[in-house]
Amino acid sequence: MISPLSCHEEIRKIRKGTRFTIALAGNPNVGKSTIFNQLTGLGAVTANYPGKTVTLNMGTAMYKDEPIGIIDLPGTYALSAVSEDQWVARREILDRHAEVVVAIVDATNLERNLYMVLQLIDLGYPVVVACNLMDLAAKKNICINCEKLSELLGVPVVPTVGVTGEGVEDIIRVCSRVVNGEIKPDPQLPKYGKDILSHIDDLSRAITKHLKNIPYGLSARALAVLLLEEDEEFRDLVGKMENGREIMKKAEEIYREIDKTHGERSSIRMARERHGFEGFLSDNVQVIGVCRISLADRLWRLTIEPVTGLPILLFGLIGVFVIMYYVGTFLSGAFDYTWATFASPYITAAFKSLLGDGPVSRTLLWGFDAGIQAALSVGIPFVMTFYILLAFLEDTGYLNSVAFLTDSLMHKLGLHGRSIIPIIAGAGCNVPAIIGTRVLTTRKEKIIACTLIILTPCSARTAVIMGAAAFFLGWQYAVAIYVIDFMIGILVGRILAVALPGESSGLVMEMFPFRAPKLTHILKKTWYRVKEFVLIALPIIAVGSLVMGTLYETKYMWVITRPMSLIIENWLGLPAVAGICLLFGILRKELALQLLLALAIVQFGPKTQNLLSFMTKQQIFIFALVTTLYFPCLAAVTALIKELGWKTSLAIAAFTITLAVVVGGFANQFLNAVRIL
Amino acid sequence: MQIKDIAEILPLVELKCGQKGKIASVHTKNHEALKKLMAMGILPGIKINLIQKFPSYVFQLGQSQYAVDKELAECILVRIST
Repeated sequence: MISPLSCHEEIRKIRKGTRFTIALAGNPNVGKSTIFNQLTGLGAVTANYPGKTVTLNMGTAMYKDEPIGIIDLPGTYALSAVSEDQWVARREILDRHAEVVVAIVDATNLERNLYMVLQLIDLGYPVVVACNLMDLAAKKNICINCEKLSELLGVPVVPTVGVTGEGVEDIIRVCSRVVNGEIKPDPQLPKYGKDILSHIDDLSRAITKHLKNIPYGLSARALAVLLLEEDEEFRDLVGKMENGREIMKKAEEIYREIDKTHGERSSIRMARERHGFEGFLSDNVQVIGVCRISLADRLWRLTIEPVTGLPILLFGLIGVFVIMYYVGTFLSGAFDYTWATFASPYITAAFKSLLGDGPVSRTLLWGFDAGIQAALSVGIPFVMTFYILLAFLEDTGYLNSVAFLTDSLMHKLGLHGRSIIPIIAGAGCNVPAIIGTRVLTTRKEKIIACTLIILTPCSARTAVIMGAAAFFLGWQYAVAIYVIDFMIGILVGRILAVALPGESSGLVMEMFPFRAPKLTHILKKTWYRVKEFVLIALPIIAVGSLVMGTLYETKYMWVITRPMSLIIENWLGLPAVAGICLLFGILRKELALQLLLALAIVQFGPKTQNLLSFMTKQQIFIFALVTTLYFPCLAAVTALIKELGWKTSLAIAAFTITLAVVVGGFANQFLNAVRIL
Repeated sequence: MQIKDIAEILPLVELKCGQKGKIASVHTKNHEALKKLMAMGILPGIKINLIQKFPSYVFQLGQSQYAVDKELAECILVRIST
């Protein structure tokens, strides 16, 4: 798997260049990334944990002319190791990469958000609480006494409004004072029920007696709490340690006793105790007044009621497609024109004056002129348009409604509601769509979604379908290709859903009402994502173009395609020259068609403007069908490798080639038999 | 009285929209889902209000609203308040 930067390396770099580092933790949708953006400006980087797809954002903030490291942890409800994002958040905290953990809580929903704060205090980490969304809380008539909360928790509490930046600097100021020792937090251990507290004490004593070193430098009490939560990682870890058996024996004893007295598992008991204490805290620090239902809330309700929500969704999806198609195509043309007018002639002239008009300069031009132009005019316009739309849908919270509405439908394909957006986006460009599958939680879902995205005809393939099938044969043949492709997609989805191992996890999601998006946040998000795309795609497309250029200019192309002729000519019934075009389609799909016309002119003379002059209608149809189905373009494969790793990506690529050959061949035989074309 | 009490415990799927109650218990073998429910505070003793039943089950719990699918909604038993 290609990971942009390894986490540890990046963290080391950040820690080395800064006075201290803080980690931002919190539930999903509490405005964590907004605060991160406010703190860090444009210099942030993202990094992967080896083998994990969840990324961490890292950056630096300036405070009193000194850089402070900021790590943005994935949003999670708790610090157990259930899903990948929780695993990453927990690992960062356990590894103590940050001097202070800033727990960002939603002021409009204290009674759930304090859970993680209590968990952090239980584990003995230095915590500063940022009580965010204070403006929304005021709007909802919720009044929070931050001083009281700070007193009850024994840690600093800073009120903030992430979107306006209010109080954001205070976070750093307070953290800095904690690190300097100017503020000495005195965390109050959560007051659970008497029996639980005595269980914690008993287990802590056993731990102190039997264990010399507690993993991750935790206190005996912290480990006792983790064991009472039946934390799998720590149960395994302790079980394997010297004398660990003794501790586990004691723990099992306590599990049995809790089951006897309360009739429930220790983990549930602990969660209930913590939620109970959290309820006590929030009751004591907030006053909730009467709140009128806002317009945004009413609109939101409409989007999740099926009767109104489904038409809105349909309208929205068509909107995304139309915007992707028109804005993308417009930008693509603009980029193409700009490159052809202002860059291409100079690059061509430069190479020719330096190296002459030989095969060498022509080969280099493939890479540095045509290659970069391909990336500019195909990738970026569609990628950028999609990312702006995606950020808008994310920030308003509409994506959440879509995920809810389509969930049961997508389940039939082994997916969740979340995956419909990337798949629809695939109709614009497969690359951002594949990167977008990062929001999916299981590998099974990612594989299914990526396969379906690859099968979704992107704008370049649409160009081939329109330019070949619709233009020369009539629109109904273009529709036929879409229908065949769609049916294959449904079939493949069904098969993968059943065949791939792994339970698809049930739906449990929080429903977030709408929030007003912020333009700067959307643009910033888009900028980061486009930058990431350019870093992946541009070099690959340039190098790919160089290789293809070399093969073409040295005439090796014809040698390579010779063995393919059995398939191309006999099975698919296409002219030999189509083989080369299909190979070039790997760079960008619409090249396949452009090149077919160009090569026809080379082979059959300048009069061959019309495909029909050297191909039958049937051949044109098969050509468009095969182009739609076979191997995704290089940029898409690169994105696939990044998200799924080498093996799975090559398997998907091989699958699409096989699929194209099989379906194309059978379509050819079928058309031979019925002779309708 | 006792018999009436037992009759008032229903799985979430059998509640009507707008009906309120307290979670009596959560029974599922799906360990991952259970842990997620636990972290979100979907636990026995908590007040719950069913809002919507289709395409999935939406309910209010304190200040938050959550959605679960049918399989999980069947596992959440609710003591109906009268």
